Amino acid sequence: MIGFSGQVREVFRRELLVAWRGKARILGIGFFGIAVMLLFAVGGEAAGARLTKSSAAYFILAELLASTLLFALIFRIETEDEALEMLMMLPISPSALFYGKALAATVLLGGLACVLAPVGVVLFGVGLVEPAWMLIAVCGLIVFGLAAPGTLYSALTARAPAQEIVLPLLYFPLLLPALLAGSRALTLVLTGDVMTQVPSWCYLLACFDILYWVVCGLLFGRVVEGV
Amino acid sequence: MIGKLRRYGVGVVGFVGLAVAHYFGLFVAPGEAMMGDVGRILYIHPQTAQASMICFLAAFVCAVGSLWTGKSGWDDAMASFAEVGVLLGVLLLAQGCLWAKPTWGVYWVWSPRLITSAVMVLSFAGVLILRRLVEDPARRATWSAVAAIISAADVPIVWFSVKWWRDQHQMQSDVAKDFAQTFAWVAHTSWFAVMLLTGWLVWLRYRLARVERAHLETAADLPARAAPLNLDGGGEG
Repeated sequence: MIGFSGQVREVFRRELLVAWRGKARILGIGFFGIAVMLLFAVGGEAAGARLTKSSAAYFILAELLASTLLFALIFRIETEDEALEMLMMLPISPSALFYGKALAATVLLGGLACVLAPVGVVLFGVGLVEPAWMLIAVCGLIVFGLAAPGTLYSALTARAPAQEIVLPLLYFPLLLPALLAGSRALTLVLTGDVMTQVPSWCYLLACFDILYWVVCGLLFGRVVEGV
Repeated sequence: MIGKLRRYGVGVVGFVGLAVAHYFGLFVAPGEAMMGDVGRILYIHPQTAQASMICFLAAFVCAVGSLWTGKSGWDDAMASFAEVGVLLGVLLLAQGCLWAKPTWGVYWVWSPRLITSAVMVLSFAGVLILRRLVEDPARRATWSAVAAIISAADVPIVWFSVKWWRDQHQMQSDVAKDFAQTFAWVAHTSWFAVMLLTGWLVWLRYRLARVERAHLETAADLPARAAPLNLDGGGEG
């Protein structure tokens, strides 16, 4: 019998393996994110918006919208051929299942951010004013903030009627802190943090991240029982 | 007569209390020292905020009760608290916008207090919509309870946000400090009136939810009890 961390590791590896085998889907989500950024750039340019100033928000919005597709997918795969029921029969705690899946989602979203960031540099003409580790820290906090509620609601809506409506309805409000605090922090990292405001926005992000990871981990068991 | 008094009495007392508090708050009490007349919002805004947060916290407790016991009463109570909480939350945000325009020059600023409050209201609105979309009562109860618990995690953050991230939004109002003692009773009256009305609305909504559930359960039993109607016109004769 493997311990909790071992269970999380196994689920994590399994998720990444499933993602690797379904590369076409993951690539599709990446291209969707790039397409969204391109549309924002075209729309913003046409409307006369200052693209450099809005680039952080466009980047996070592209990440959010692409993440919705990812989370719509994660548990839909499990509902095919009763995979989830079989997974639940394994000696794995629901929390380990959640944390494994959420960590894998974090890695995938991190990968998506790595793809979108250079696209943003090209499209919006932005550069880095603050040190690179600040950019990585802010992006990491944003991605963590998306992964936990996304994984939980993915499980909750996997067999819900009108998943395409229910998932964004529940998921988007929870993303507002990531969107707002993340946009502020990222803008400051890209344009210069004269008044040292980045840490306070990072605290806000970190608060929501911790809260979501703890609460979602606790509730996941009830959700998969009901699915 | 007693039934009507019991049903509407609390609501009537609440409305009268609110009217009295508004009259004194708007026309009798002097304007706030720094903000002038705009400061009169203190006679309703903090009360609405507290009532909405109490509703969301109560929805959280009921959601935990629903998950724990699986009884439908908890689920109906959770939905009632969430509905009234969303109503109060929308009122709260509207009041805040009306106050912010003359004070800050804009209806909305991106402060943590405002962000977290909007998230709280939107999250619970999502819970209510989820309830409308899921027809199976057991799943609806479990899923909406889970969603309500996650949404309620935002409530303490809303409360402490002004302490953790000091921004444009002022700290929580303290009736003992923020009001001249002559008019503190107005704020207290408004608080009691808002709480009475909130409790009354939740109670009415809960009763309605119970009646709806009983009606649906009866309707579900009907086909088994009643003989099927022959609507084709093809009878014996």
